[in-house]
Amino acid sequence: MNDHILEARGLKKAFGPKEVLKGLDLSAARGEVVGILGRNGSGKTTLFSILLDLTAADAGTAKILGARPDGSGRVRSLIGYVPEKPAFHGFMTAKQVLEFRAGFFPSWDMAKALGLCRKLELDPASRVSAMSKGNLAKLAWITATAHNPELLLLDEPTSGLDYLVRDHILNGLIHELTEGGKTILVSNHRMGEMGGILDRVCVLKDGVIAASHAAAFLAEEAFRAAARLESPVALPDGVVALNGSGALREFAVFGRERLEKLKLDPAFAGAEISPLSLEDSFKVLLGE
Amino acid sequence: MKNLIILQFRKSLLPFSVLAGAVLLSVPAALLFRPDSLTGPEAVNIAMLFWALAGLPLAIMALAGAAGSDASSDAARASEQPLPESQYRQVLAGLAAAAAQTALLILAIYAIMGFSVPLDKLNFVNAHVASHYFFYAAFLALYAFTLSYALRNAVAGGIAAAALLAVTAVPLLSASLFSGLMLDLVPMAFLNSLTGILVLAGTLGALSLLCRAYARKEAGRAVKALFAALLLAAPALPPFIGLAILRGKSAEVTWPVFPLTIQADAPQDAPGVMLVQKPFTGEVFLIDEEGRRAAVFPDDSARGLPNYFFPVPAFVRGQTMAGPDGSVWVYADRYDKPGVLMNGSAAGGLKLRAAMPDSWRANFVRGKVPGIVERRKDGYYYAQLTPGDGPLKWENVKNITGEAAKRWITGTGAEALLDAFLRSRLAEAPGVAVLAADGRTVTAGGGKWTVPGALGPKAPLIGLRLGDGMSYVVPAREGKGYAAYLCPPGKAARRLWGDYFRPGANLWAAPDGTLWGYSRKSSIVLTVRKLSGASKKEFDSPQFNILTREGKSIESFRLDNVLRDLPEAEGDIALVREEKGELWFTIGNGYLVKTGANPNGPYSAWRFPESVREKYWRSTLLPTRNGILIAAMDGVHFMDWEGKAKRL
Amino acid sequence: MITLNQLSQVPIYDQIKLGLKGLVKKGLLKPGDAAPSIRKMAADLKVNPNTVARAYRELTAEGFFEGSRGQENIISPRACGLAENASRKVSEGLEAALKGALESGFTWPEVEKMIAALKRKLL
Repeated sequence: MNDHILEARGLKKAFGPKEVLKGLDLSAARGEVVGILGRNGSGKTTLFSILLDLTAADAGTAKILGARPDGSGRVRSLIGYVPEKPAFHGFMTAKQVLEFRAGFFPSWDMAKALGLCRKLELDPASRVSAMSKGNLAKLAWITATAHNPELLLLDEPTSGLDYLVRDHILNGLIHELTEGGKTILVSNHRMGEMGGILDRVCVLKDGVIAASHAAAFLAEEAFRAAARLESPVALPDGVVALNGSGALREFAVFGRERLEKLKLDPAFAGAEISPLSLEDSFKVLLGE
Repeated sequence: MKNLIILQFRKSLLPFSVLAGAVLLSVPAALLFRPDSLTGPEAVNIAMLFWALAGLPLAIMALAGAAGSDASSDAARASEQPLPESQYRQVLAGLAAAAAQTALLILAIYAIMGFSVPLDKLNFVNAHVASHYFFYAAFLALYAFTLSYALRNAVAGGIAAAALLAVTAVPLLSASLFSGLMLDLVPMAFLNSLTGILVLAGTLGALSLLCRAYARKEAGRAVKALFAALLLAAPALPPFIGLAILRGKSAEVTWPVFPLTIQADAPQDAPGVMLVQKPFTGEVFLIDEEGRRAAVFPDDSARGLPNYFFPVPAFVRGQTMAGPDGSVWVYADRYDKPGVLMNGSAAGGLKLRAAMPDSWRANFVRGKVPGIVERRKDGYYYAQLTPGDGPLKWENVKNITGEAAKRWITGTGAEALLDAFLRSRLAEAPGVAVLAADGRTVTAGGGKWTVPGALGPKAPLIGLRLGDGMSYVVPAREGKGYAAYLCPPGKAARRLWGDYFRPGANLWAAPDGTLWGYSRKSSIVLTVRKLSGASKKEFDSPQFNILTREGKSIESFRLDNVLRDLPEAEGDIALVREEKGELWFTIGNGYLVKTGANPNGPYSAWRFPESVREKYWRSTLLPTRNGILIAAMDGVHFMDWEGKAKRL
Repeated sequence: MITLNQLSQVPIYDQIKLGLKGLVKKGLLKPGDAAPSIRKMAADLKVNPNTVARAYRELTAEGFFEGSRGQENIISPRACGLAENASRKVSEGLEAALKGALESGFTWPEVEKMIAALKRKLL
């Protein structure tokens, strides 16, 4: 049964002459944790903006938990959104922010929100204008999850945060997953730190999802091969040149089958094989 | 949505509190610092008026402008967009909060003024603004918000809103000025409502388009922005269109040059012409029953832009007189123009015979050779109105009669001087009679009559040309009452009617020479009596005494029968024609009525054109021999004796 | 307690299973103890709870865990044995191979070189 929480088809968006999204397809099943990998300026924010019904797509459709982004903002009541730069009204305290937001979400759980404040060590009486970046991130996390949305959209949830706060956020994420039934769409520059949590990684490149890989695949079947090449060689599928000069070259190989094929390839005789870290896999995917 | 509005209030709490506080503080300040010439309440009222007309507009621009630019700011967007409320409604929340704050401030000021505005103490512009205050304040608030949202800047938005307000307000003010002149040429209520609706709809529509274009970044931004601009400019259209229509219509408004009679020895010989002015274009012309016109003053309505918006109607005084050669003499005088004396005809045109630059007043004088008496700064001057083209010879009246000059110097007044002049100069002329000192002898141009108990008029008696020549009607005392005597040429005086009648006071000649008058009031008295629930209208018609050209006398002719039947009959009644026993009357500006000799018998009644009937409060009809010339709101009309009317 | 090797090709859930078995073998976890909750394990390791859940499911199927007290997974008495068994089997195999090599005349350094080469090959 098709239990896709999120389905976007053919999303197009251009700002003047510049085309940012060129027919993007994306879907996420219930309970999936999907990472969006993309360079700065690749259209991640635009994509999130369209999904959140904050920007109108030029073409294409999107359906989130049965609702469409149609300008009414209804979709936002079903999504927990942590923006890249969380902002709240400076004159409010954390508690006032929570009480204010509570008025907009029928499924708001104030007890959960306050409990999260305690757990994340956020003083409910602290004023937003005096909050550090870390505290703002905590507050953003709490406001996103307090109404128990089925879909979480996280835009760089840990960027710029110190280790401890980052830990809090990731723990919170895992906690939400433990509750069950939550789908998460997350974009992160340091995707590596979330490698264990992700189910799937989508690479956003040239305005579309250029590639989509299971996280387990990247963790278990990505290799680094160092070989000596006497003459230039056409690279088979799934093999990407990394670096090296002269005859000594390094390659990334995705997939155990491809690795076996490579090992049998006479051009790559005597190659040194070692595992490719998740970070490096991501870098390769981005650069491709 | 409610929470968003509360949030917006909270965000602008500081500036709003400061403004509200300033308004409240100005009450004790006004009481403390008032000049001694004002009482406490007056000083507070002046302070509040200052707020309303100067302080509050700035406050509105600040509050609404700040709210608008905040709604489009990145900071506000970042902290409010994640909420599950559509972006348009978020903007509307800001607008609603700004509008509510404006309303609260206005209410506070209004309450402090005791819920009443002393409109009479304000000049016209301020009174207009005060009576339309809610509209102007709403306009300013809505537009300051919307334009600040569009331009993302409170100052720019506020100034732009104020500019648009001025552009819309000036024609509205102008139209209000027109209405104030009681010329209901355009349905102001409709225009004002339409403008108000366009303001509200334009604001909401423009905000929706701007939100979609700039917040939601929909495609086609330039087109949406253009439409938004058009929507915001739309409310200026009805006032300007209304003003253009008003100007067009006001250029059609005609008004008689009063006094609305043509002086003539023999009215039945006078040409059927009317001296007409167009108060809003400055045109003055003589028009006849065929519609031919001769210009007296030209159209000078192109008097510049301030005059476009604030036309000042200029009214002309003047007189017309029929000359013995059938030509018409016209005197016209406007406060800012030198007076003119012209001669000619409507068909052939009028020629300028004398320019009268520093004339205060002038009067035509009838006689064998008509003349004109002009009051200048240094006295009265007289000139004979000679036909032809030559200049007129003016003589200072003082020089003419020592007696008259004595009376003037001793200060018995200008009228006395004129009267003395007439007596001395023209008493021997036909058409003017004087009563001798013995109280019984009436002399005029060779004729002499004895009228027992004749009432000594202080002014000469003007004659009336009846069928047998120049006759005079002299009022006399008879026992405890009065009588009117008729002095026909060549015959002895005879008692005409048993009531007081004095030509010019309550006795007139119709254009065809028929004499008519009334012994009591000339207008209809309408009493409404309630008879056990039902109201009964009772008309009290004047009683007319009529002397036809042939010499037939009709006394106490009443029109009750007719008046009862005619709805909305009101105003003065005048006899305008008698022909073969049938009588024609005009009733106010409403009806032309033709009756037979029997007032209770059959009659015909025709209504005058609507453009004169309902808009004018003063009679603008001039009966002539062939019909009635009517100066109306939309030009000059002519109605013949069978009720057929046409516009000339 | 358990560390995951990000670079290893061994799937995470497998590493969790082995890690728990190692703890039991070292005596840090005894039969009757409750294993860390799924949530705590996931949070500590920064992995998807589903992964931990899968590991625990398989461990339950293998008999490592016995009937749970509420939500907790209790180490079963057989766990020790299972852990021991697994490691003993590996150990016995290695011992046999090495003994064979040494008896065949290979020196320790040569054996170590071979192990290194195999390591690369097998990866």
